[in-house]
Amino acid sequence: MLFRGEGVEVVKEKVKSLEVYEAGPMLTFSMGPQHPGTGHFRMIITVVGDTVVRCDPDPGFVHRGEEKLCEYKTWITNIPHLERPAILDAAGMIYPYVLAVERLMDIEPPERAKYLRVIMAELQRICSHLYWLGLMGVFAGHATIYMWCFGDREYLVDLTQLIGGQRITHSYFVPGGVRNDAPSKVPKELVKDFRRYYRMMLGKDYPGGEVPEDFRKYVLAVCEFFDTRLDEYYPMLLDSPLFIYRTRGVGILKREDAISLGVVGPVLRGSGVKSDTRIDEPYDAYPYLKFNVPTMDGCDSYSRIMVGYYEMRESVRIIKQAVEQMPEGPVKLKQHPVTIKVPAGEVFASAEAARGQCSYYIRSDGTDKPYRVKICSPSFRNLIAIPHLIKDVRIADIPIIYWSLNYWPVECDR
Amino acid sequence: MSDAEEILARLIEDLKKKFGDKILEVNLEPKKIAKFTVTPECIKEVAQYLKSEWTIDYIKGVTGVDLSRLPDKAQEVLEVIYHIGSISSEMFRGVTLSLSTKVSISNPVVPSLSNIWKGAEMHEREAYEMLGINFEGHPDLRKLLLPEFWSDKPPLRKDYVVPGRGC
Amino acid sequence: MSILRDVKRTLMPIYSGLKHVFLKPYTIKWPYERVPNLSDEGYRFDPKTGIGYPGNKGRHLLYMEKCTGCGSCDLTCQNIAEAITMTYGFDVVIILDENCYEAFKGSKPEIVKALDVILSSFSAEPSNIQYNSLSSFFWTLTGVKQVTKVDGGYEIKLSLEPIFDVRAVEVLYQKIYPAVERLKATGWELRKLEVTTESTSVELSKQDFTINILIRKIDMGYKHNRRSLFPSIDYGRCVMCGLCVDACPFQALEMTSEFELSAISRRELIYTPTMLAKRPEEFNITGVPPELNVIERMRMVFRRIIW
Repeated sequence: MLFRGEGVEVVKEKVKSLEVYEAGPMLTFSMGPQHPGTGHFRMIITVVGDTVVRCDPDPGFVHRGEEKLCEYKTWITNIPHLERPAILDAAGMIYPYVLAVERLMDIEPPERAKYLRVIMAELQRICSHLYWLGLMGVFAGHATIYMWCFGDREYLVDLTQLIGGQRITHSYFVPGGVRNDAPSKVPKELVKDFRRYYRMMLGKDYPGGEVPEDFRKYVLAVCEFFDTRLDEYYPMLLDSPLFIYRTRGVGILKREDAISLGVVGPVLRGSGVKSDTRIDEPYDAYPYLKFNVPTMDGCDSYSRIMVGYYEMRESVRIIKQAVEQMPEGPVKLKQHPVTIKVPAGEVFASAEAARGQCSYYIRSDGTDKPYRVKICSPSFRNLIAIPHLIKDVRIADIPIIYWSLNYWPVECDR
Repeated sequence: MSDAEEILARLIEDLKKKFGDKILEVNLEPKKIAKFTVTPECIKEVAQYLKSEWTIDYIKGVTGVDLSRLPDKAQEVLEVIYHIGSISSEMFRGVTLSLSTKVSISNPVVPSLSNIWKGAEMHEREAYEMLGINFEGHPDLRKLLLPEFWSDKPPLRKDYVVPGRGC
Repeated sequence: MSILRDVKRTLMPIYSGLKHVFLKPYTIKWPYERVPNLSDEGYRFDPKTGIGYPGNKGRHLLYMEKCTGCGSCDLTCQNIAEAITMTYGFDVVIILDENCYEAFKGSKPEIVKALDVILSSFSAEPSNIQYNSLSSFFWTLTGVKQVTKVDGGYEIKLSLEPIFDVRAVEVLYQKIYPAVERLKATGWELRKLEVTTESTSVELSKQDFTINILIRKIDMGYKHNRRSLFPSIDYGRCVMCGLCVDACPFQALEMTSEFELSAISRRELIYTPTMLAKRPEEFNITGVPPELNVIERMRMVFRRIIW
């Protein structure tokens, strides 16, 4: 699969400037965009023998011009398409947009809406991390964890569907609250199904026999179940020596490098930096909730995936607290459902999405459409880590490093 | 006045003392934005100063804005905004500064800050292709998201019309 | 000791996985079995409080008696997916004059052939369908059963269901005009062509026979909606965000939990107002899943009960 195409001249020039390796001939080829591991993303890789000497990331295969689209659509109708870049984590992607518009309008959502938003965002974080962990298992040659992650994810996705009405892209957050309240009851069939699944995965009946149908209690039941399952993931994948040998010491991103490159999320925390938007600039209901920010000092792929694993535990903790503390009341301010007026001004707002800090810079000129929307998505900020990490490594380590970054091409390209 | 506002006020005061009238404009709105505009000639100097004296070591994004269609005060300029913060310094926890500069739309050349904040490299490449801003001294100024054969106007300029959408 | 621990840690995954070999398998045989995690409630919106009711965001449900044809949903969707179009219902009739009808009853080959040509353009073949055309695919040829006497001749109604489209001329262009072209080749003469938004007529004549094809807007008879303007939704474009439901000030649009919207052509994904008005239980567009064969059924029984 030799690299051919328009970019060949560019690559030739770049290779010329590299020093000639005596170990063998230099070979440049492209990994992706059809590679099952990378998604719609290409890395132009130069190798000597089996060692990568240079990696040039080439995103843009799924660029849809979200920022330009925003200038054509109104404030509320921007929401459905802004979720699309990160469908696994739609709530995390739309959260800063909603916060930014609220800050421009100087409004504050009702208390109950804040908690519902937090529950939704954390459920999505777990869903996204389970996807990450499952595919990480596949890339490390461990198919069981993939099945487990996707099986357990189903019940969390069902919860988001009960609240938001859709499995992935719910368009649930709007400036001024959320679009609907959580249901009070869970469908009987789902409860029965969950009970069956509980018995299958844990090998015992649900304690007390009946799974509660009340929404709050059902969420707590799913959280308890998921906590138990997370315990089982640890010996299955993360404590397995085979996985550890494959990921320890691979793709080392030092603390200083992580800061200067400006990476975010589990990649930053996996390098030992304690930085989380939920703690640093708390928004919505996060100041009322207790949780830790897990960090690891290993700076390698293993640390990053472990940070993801511990974050799921923290998310479960947050959901439990939020469900218990959630007050009654309205969930949305009184306003027109589709047309809102946003005064002129500038705002920069951030929120913690599943893959890291997601920020929006929004400039409004007082009309019904935004003047400029800039999305600083977490994957775009982690993109620079790819050429930095995939250097002087073996080809076989590339999938591991790539997936430990939890890079999502669509979110990067926007 | 919260901690973040206090530290920002101190920072602005210090910058004004140091750079004088090179700081053109300060836009300080609590919870919304903390932006100060400098002249393009001295942006590198200011950035260097911020990094060494105030330990602003973390870059969050680079935004380019085409200001030519603003309804009230249209200017034929492009604005480049660096969203920066700090990880090492406890004081700046959760604070985002916006360092901005304005260049004319006919000759948009800004010194690159990617050797001060290494992470700005990709963000600057994006601003280069999307708004046609040339970053002087950038190590590798190429197209990133757009195809290499893109020869139309930079798509995020306001005079670029999306095919089939008009206006 | 560390070797022992490593061996234990290596074997742990195998043990963890092995436990599940003896447990009952868990697979839902969709579409033979229903997916259990769906509630029957659809997403609704209360314009008084401005807050929605939780529910699934599936196919829409249109209450035609509440819809006023204001186009709020259309306006909202213009900014999102461009899936909704406000459409009128049209009727296509052929009017034969007295002596033409006599000839038809006497099965004169010329007239029968001409009517055949017109009728054949009503059979929906996916290959002839143009993308982005908003027309009903519910074609029921009524043949010559519904013949009524009107002024100046006899009227044959071509479709039972109304054809929904933005303008009458679109129906003419897609449905009638190919037939007219073919008839012109066989000696028929195009006498008159009248085109307005709400009705269109084509007059064809040959010797002393005259055929008049008339496309006219149907008045649906809803008193809140005098113009008879209703939304059609293209599910090839809809993103199921439900903002059209929020935008409707009269609660005429709702969402249901029906999500099986697959079709074999793009045109089948365009739902006309009459289709949207049907509740999911009385309407299943994807069709009932095929009957299970014996082996499949036995396998299911084996998995469910014996294991």
